[in-house]
Amino acid sequence: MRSRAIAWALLFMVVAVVLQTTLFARLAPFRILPDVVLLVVILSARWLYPDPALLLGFTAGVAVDLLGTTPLGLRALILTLVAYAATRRTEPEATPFAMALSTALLSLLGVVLFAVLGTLFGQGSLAEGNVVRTVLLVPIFNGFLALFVGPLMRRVMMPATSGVLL
Amino acid sequence: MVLIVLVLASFVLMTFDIRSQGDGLTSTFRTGAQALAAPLQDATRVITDPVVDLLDGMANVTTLRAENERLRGEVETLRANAAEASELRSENELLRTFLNLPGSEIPFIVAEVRSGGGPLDTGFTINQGQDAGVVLGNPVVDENDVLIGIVREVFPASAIVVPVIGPTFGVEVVSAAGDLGVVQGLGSTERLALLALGPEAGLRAGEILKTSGRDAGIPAGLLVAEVLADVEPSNGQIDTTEVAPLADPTFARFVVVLQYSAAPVVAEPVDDGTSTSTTLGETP
Repeated sequence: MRSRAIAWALLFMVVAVVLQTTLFARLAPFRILPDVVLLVVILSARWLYPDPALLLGFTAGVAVDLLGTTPLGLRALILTLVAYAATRRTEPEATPFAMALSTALLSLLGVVLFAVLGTLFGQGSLAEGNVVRTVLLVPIFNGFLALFVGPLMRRVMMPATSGVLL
Repeated sequence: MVLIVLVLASFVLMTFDIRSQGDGLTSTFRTGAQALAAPLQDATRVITDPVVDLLDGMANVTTLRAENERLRGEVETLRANAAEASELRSENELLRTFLNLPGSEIPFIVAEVRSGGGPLDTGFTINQGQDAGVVLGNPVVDENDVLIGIVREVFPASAIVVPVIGPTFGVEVVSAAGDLGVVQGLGSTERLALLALGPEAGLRAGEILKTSGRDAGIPAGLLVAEVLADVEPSNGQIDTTEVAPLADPTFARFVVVLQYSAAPVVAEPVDDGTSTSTTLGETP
C-alpha cells in the first residue's frame, strides 16, 4: 500500500509540473501564478513517510528547475525544505479546512524561501515588483485549491477503512 | 539524514548550474528534460488553451464595448494616417535609392510560447531552438517590434527567453532626443527602471524608448518602454525613473525571434559616462 501511495504521489507530481508550466503559466488570477507543484508536495507529505516525501519534493523541484529558468537545484532545495516542514507539521486526517489552512501556511513558507534564496542566488526575486502580492496570493490560491485537491488526494493515497499512514 | 543529503545535493546542483552558466552537464539535463516534457506540454496545451481562452473572453467581455468604441475612433485616425504613410513610403524608397541603403529586414522565426515558470519566475520557453536557427542572445519581439526579451538558453527544439520585465534583464535604450540610458526589469509587468539618461535628457509622458543598437545582438529601433510622466533632468541628468514596459510577456502566445547577429554599434567616446555598452541581457 505504501508503494501505491508513492506511485499516486508521483503521478500527481507529474500532472502538477505539466499544469504549472502550461495551464497555470497562462491562467493567472490577479496576475499572480498559482504554484500547484508546491501544493502537491505539501499535500502528498501528509500521506507519505518522511523520506519519500522529501524525495518527492526534491524530484518535483528538479523537474520544475529543468523546465524553467531558475538555477537547477533552487526549487529542489525549497520544495525539499517545505516537504520536511509538511511532514513535521501536518496531520493525515485533518478536516478539509484545517488542511487548507496548513497548506496556505506551508505555501507561505515556500514562497518566502523562494524569494529569499532566489535573491541570494541571483534571481532578484525580492527586487521583483510584485513580490508582496505573490507572497500573499500564492498561499491563498494554494489554500483554496487544497479544499478540492486535498480530499481527492486523501481518497486515493489513504485507504478509508484502515485510516493509517500508507 | 535524507534531508541533509538532499539539501547538499541541491546546493551542489545550484553551484554547478550557476558556475557553468548554462553549459555543460546541467545544460544536457535541461535539454533532455525539455525534450521529454515537450510532448506532454503540447498535448496539455491543446486541451487547456481553449479553456483559458474562454475564461479570458469571459473576463474581457465587459470591456469589449468600450474597446470597440475606441477602436472605431482609431480606424478613422489610421485611415488618415494610411494615406500619409503611402506618400512617405514612396519618398523613403526614393531616398534609399539615392543613398544606396540595403533593406532593413532581419530574418526571423515565429515561435509559440510553450511553457512559463512559476510565481516569481518571469522566464518562458518557446518551441523553436537550434534546429530552427535560434541562437543565444537573439532578441524576441512581438508582431509590433516590441522587445519582449532575449534568448538565454538554446536547446535543439526549444529555447528559454528572459523577458524585459525580468529583474536580471537590462538593455540600452535611446530617447526621442537621442539620449542614451539603460532600461532594467523589475519583475513587474507594469514598470521598468530607467537608469542614467544622458545630460540632454528631458522626457515627456507618452514618449517611446527604443533600443539603441549598441548591445550586441539587439538591433536599434525595437520598442521597449513608454515614459509614464514628464521628467525633468536634475543636475544635468536623470538618475533613475520608472517607465512602463510595452510588452507583457506573461500572456504572450506567439513571439518572433529575430535572427540578428550584427556586432554592436561602436560607441563614440563621450564625456558623460553613458557610452559604456552593456552586456547583452544582463543588468549593467
